[in-house]
Amino acid sequence: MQPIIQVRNISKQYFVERSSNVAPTLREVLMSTIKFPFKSRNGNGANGDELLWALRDISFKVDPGEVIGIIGRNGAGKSTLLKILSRIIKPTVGEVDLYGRVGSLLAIGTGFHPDLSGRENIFLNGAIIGMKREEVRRKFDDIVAFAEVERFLETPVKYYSSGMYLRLAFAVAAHFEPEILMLDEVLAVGDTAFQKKCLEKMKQVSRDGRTVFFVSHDLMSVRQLCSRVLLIEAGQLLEDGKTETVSASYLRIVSQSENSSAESIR
Amino acid sequence: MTPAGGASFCLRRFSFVCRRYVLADLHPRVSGCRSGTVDSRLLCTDSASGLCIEIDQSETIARSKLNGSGGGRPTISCAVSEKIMTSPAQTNPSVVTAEIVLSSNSPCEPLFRIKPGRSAILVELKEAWVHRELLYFLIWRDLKVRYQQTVLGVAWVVLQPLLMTLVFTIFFSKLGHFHSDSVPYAVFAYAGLVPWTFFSNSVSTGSSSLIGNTYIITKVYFPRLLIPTAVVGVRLVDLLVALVALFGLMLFYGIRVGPGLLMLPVLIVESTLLTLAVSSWFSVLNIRYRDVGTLLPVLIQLWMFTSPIIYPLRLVPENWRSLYSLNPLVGIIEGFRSSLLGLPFNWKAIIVSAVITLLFQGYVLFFFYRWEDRVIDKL
Repeated sequence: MQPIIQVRNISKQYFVERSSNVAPTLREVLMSTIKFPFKSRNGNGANGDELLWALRDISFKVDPGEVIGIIGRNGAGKSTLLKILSRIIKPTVGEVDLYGRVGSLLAIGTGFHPDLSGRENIFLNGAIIGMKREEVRRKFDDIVAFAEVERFLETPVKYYSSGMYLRLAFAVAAHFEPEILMLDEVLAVGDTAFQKKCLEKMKQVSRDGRTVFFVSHDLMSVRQLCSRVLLIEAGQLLEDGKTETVSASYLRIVSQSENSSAESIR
Repeated sequence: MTPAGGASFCLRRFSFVCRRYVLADLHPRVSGCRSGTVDSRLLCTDSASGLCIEIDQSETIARSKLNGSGGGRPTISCAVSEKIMTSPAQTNPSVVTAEIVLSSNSPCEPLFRIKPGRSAILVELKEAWVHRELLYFLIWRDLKVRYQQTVLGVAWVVLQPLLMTLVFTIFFSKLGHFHSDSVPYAVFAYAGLVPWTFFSNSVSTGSSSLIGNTYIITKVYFPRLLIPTAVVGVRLVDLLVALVALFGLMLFYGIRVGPGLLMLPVLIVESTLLTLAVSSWFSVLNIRYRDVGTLLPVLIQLWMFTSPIIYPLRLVPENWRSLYSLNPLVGIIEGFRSSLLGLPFNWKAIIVSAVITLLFQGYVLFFFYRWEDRVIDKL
């Protein structure tokens, strides 16, 4: 079967600058040019910078229709991987072949403007996440019904309750139908009833033959949604397989590190 | 499969994965059909009945629409998912059968390949063109929000250069006894301040546009060049509004427009290109070096006084003029004024500025795409 995504040996390197996370000032660059006139300054390589491999040599293939969970501890590189697959950042090494449109929902309500009305924000947010205007127009009624905000369509979203705001944002996102969908913990919004609705929607998306990537800390929803899980630890792909096996190893890693940190406290 | 008297076409192998369809078994009467990619629109006609068969694949779900050319004929549309679907035969005398077969075992090229380094500038520009609808929405958002928030709304667009004109008129014309060629100083200054306001406002907002939109840029992919471009787009709307006010001012002073007005669109394009280049350049520089943001207001001020905005080019000493005209704003602002107020054109300055603008625009595109990704890592 032709895979829909093929990831070949991608690595991502970041420069961690010594003075926190800020760009160098012009003065620093000028000074270092005067001091070391022949040193190559490729913008990042100022002396003392630390290199950090956020991802190292990750390869895998995904078939159309798979729902893949990505799990791992904080800072393991899950989001970096998702950002590379969504084309937000580029890998330092390696290649990814995409055989379909990618839509990414790394945050809910990207580009919502508080002063614009619900209606206007649906169109704006739709355009930002990659929907065509025509597509939004056709799905408009469904989006509104899903979000349950019919009465407040003309109200600026800054007057929305936070629940309404999130519901609207998720509704737009849920009606975006790319062949490959990237989700970063976005299901964790709203009350239980709404969460259930979202989960249902996501299941439907995968039934339609779309490929979904789902990053989460919540093993419960990963188990419910995903057929396959990638476990990432310290930038490396530790395990790739069936949901049950991989989530068991994840739990083992977490409990091990908890034990060791408990011991170090003692 | 082919009903008697009907036109038939068969869309074979619509590959979901490759997003590519292959046409096969075409009825000889159906012409103009080609195989292609999903992003292209397939349009073919049945030569006998004149039926127009349109398959609009703007989305994942391919839909085929068959529209009668005679008007009033029923439209058949069939939604196609991953299985074979045949549209039901119509009661209409001209029956059309559409069949779409999905398969995913043909070898295909990836839709996109993510790899280190930048793509060719043309590829990037094409990508930006594909996302033009988003550009429209970004411009629309900014205009809408601005006109909602400020009390005076659209009036500010006119008031800003007008108030500056007032200040300069009082100081230079009344107190300093400036001579502004043959037109009243107020009109002279305003005609220069309108394009200048466009330029300076775009550059100062544009320079912080990438930083200001960090939240969107780090969460979703789209061509980043659209962000500074949207800023310039918003200011371009302002420019057009301010120009309308200028015509009002000219009416008040009894200045007639001449044939030079025909040059105005050219000058607007030229100034937009220059503004776009400078804005996107600073938008990246501003992330690379923190102090660019602090330096910029000074630079803009300096640029203003080295351009013939509040004084005529005539005041610049003859032997300095060639050097002075290397500032691309010289040709543009003089050009605006000549075109609007019917003064003689300084063609040399306009051409010099056009050449410099194009060269600079080329450099900035190169620069932007070279640094874009490295800069995004820092956000």
